[in-house]
Amino acid sequence: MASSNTSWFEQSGQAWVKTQQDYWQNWLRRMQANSMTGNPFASLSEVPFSGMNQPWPGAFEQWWQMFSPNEAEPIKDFMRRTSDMGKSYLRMAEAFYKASSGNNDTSEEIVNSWLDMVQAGFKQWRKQLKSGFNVDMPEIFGFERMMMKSWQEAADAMMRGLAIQDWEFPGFSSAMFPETGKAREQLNKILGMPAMGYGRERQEKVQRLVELFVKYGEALKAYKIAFAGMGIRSIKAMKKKLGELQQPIDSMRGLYDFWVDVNEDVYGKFAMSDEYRVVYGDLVNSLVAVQQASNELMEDVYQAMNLPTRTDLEAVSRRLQQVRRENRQLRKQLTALSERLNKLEKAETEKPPEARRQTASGKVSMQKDDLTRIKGIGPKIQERLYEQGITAMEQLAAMGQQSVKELEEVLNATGKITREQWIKQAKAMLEDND
Amino acid sequence: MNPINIKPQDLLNEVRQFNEKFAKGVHSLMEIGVVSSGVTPREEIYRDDQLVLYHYQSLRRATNKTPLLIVYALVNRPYMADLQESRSLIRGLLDAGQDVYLIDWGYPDESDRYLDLDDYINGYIDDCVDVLRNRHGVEKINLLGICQGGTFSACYSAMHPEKIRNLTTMVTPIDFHTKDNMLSHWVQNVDVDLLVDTRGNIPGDMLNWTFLNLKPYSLMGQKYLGVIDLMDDPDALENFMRMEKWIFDSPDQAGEAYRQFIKDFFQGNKLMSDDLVIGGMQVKLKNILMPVLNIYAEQDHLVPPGASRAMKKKVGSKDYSELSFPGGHIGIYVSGKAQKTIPPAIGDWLDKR
Repeated sequence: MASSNTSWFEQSGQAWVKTQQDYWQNWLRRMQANSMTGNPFASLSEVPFSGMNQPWPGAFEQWWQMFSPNEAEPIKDFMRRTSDMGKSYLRMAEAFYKASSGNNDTSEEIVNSWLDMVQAGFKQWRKQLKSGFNVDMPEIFGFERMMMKSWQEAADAMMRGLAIQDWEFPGFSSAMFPETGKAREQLNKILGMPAMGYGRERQEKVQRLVELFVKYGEALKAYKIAFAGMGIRSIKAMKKKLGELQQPIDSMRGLYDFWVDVNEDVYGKFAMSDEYRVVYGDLVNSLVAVQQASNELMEDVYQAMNLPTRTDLEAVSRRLQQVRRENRQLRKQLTALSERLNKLEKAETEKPPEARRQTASGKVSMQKDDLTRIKGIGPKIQERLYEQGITAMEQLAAMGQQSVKELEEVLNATGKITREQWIKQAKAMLEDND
Repeated sequence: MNPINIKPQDLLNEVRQFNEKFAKGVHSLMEIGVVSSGVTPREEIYRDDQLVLYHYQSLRRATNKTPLLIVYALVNRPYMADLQESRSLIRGLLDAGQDVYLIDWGYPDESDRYLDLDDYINGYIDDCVDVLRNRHGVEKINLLGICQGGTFSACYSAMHPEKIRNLTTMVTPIDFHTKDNMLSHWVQNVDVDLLVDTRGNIPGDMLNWTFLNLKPYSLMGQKYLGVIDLMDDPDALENFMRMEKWIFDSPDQAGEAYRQFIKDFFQGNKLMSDDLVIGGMQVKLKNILMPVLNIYAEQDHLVPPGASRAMKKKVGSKDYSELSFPGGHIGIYVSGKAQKTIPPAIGDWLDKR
């Protein structure tokens, strides 16, 4: 229980530091004890978390889990990213440490055999992909996997909302990635079902969705294959660069930075290749196509339930944007008119009294500009513009695209105003007047 | 030579230190609390839909009588230009005697789905320019565009040259087809129509994912290893967190504007071929006759220097200057070196014109 002056957080944080110290003390002791005889990973029963496949990142993850849920959102996100990196760093350190303890190889031999292992991992992965198994990237340092994972997470979030569920077509979800024989069989069943009767249209749409899904699976596979190729190239590059080093790498951090530099370089070339442009485009397009087909199916359901759909919403948004544009034009016209009115009123008050009286008793006529000064407007068109209430050059000058279109419709002269650049002409004349 | 020489004992010590630093760093993090940004006092002077036009306040009176309007990109948030006291482009410009205004685009939502580039450039920007012209009783104002906001500013200045006295662009793409433009390379095969028709507005997270993947090993990995070393320095950690907040604070993109921007700029590169049409108006950079100051970053991984420098040959202005900064796309706003050199250079250039 947290006391009043120590928060739960501080307590657990201190506990974390303490556990860590114990944990690493244990490792150090173990290493010293085993320095003559062999691998400290050999018997680990009294070290916490040692039953795990990868005790270092594993322990890190455990501490992290213990303590992370209490954080506020932005800090939590940051800590998650930092801990993801921490795990991949520790995974690398552990792999290196494992390889270096308990044998007499030089660091270079260790690194080379380790790089060979990683390269073999990439090759194995690529082979599996090419023979039709759409498997995930093997856990290497966790980093490349993280890059794929962030894509996969975004894609999965979309897929969760997919319009078809298993109740409708049993086995649909397993057919999503049809790499196994059984799923492929199920998929063929869905695709082969004759579409007929009441649900015919829907069934056709479902079949189309499934086809698009298979396409997405293929695109994802192609992307992974290209990625595996990059992995293999990056290992080759690391071996080459190691041979060119001027100074030996003497720390884990140095090794990690070296690894980042080489990989970023290889990745940079990969990302600028024609191959990448194609697999990336296919990946994005095929995923979006799945979502589009899914939306379409969903819309049918929503319509049947009398609920608003995306199409409905977009119709409203589109109309709203038109209204906004019209409003903007009106605002401009209004400003132009009130400025004009102010000018007139000012001129009026400055006139000698008799002149003012005359005007006051006489007929008030709105001033009409000579619009025929604009090339393309003749007396007839001018008359029609007056009828529309367009009497001032300012009004023309303030017109936007939408109003121009509407005016062209009224005048029955599509494209005329734009072609003859009335608006531009009007603006130019006003400027000349100024 | 043996290229790698790491002793197991050293390695173990290093890993132990790493874990301890991480655990302790979490403490420092909690002490930071909420990270603030946007430090210079400002006043809202105009608002339309999601857009807000701000006027920045300074203790000293602006010596340049022509107001300076900053147009930020639609991607990410404009407080990048005013992160903290010692790292603020805006503060620097005020100190250089400029009267500074900024357009904050806000966070587009579903009601902004059909905003297009005409609405943004000939609508919103033009309105803000008019607001400033009226407010200051001047015919022309100074325009400063940042990144995509610079591209917009160049388009605006080409369409409404009568309202712009001087144009400054910072890390602004003009030629989208230089050989080193990774973003552009990726997007060439993407079916943007399908994307926008399906998704409507484009989620900010998606753009973020794309930006991080430009340099994934450093931006998603190494960077966080580096921060663990900073964790015992509260100021450095706070600065890091401030940047981190900014990086992941990405507004969604209005669907139509995104579609046009990708198709006409990234895919069509129409600013270079003079085929760009916005709202029925042709956009030709040779109509830019006012003085131009084009600032680019030498190590920019988002907007390669070549993409910016292409402006030189396209604008009609006889008074064209370039300022090159030895740093990256973000460093040009936030690094100490940038703080010392960039705003005074802009102020000096503007004062002379």
